[in-house]
Amino acid sequence: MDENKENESAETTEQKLPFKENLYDRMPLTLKQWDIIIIVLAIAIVVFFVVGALKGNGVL
Amino acid sequence: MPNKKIDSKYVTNFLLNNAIIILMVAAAIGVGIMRPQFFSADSFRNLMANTSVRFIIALGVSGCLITKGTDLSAGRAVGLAACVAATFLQRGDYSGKVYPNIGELPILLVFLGVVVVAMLFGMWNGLIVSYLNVPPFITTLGTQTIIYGVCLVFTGAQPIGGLRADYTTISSGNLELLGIKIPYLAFIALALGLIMWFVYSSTPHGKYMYAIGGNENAAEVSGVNTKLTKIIIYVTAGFLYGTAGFLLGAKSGGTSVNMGFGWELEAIAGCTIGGVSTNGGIGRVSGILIGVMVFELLKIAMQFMGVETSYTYIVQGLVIIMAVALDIRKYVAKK
Repeated sequence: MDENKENESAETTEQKLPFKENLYDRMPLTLKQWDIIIIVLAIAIVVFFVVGALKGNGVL
Repeated sequence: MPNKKIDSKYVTNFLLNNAIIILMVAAAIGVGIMRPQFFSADSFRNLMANTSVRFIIALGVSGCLITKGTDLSAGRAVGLAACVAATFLQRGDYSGKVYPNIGELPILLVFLGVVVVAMLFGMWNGLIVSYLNVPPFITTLGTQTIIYGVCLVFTGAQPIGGLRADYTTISSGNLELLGIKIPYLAFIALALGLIMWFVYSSTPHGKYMYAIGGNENAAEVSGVNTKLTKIIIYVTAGFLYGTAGFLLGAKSGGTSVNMGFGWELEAIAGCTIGGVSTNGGIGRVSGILIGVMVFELLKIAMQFMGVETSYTYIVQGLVIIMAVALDIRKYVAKK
């Protein structure tokens, strides 16, 4: 009886967490979420570039 | 109506997949408008010279990245190569000559010695990664520290100067083509780029490399000698770092133990920006050249705009993260 319970629990775990060998397959985000991350990073790059330039030229 | 939807999706994908290149080119145009001397011949020559050395290093790192590895010892290997080259190519009459009893050696002999040293460290990396199965990150991290130690011992932690004119001319000399002065460095980098392009695209070794990066187990089962291929990749990388170090020593006019420190990260960044996937199996020489050039353009643009040094590191770091995010995005989009 205990053995059956153990086997059931192992199968349930396997269904819940299928192993994916490829690192990128394990990424939990969708395409849209990645698009948002990329846009945010692009904005951050522009912001830090501009702020750095203003600070470097003594404006800020 | 459906065509319009497809077109806008195509445009969105194009813009996002090439976001870094578009952003950098836009930044360069913006800087050029605000600082017209950014588009001068001197600036272009500076860009080519800086890109050339970094491109050679990136070519070395790319093989490791394509096979899902990395090489964190690249920068220190370049530094050691520069120090060794500079030590044996000092002027005979220089008062601070490291080995005053050794006369002026032929440049080719010193070059061969330098690349052999660098290739030995490459072989060291390759053997540990292939036969001991130590992850490349750890292996090359250890090698990085070892090479730094060797360089400290070799140079006595002293800077090396008084280099021969025939050595420094290799990097400072130019060839005039159609009125434009192109550094010799650019031609050397181009030649190496063409050789590596041929190796990657048209040789069995190149195909094995991509196969290992795609799926190492499948490659092994298919008969690819994965251990030998990886060793060759790291030894080739060593050759390229040795060459880059030799040229860097000539370009700088003097060397020290800190030369090349951190350059592996720039090389990895350039490769990633240029489309080399950190997930392995993808990468082209043309992409690597574009990636390195774009990263150098960004650095020069920030210099011209007088961006504070601290902020230049933040911007470069964000660009690297964005490059990896784009790589993952391309993979998710394909699925």
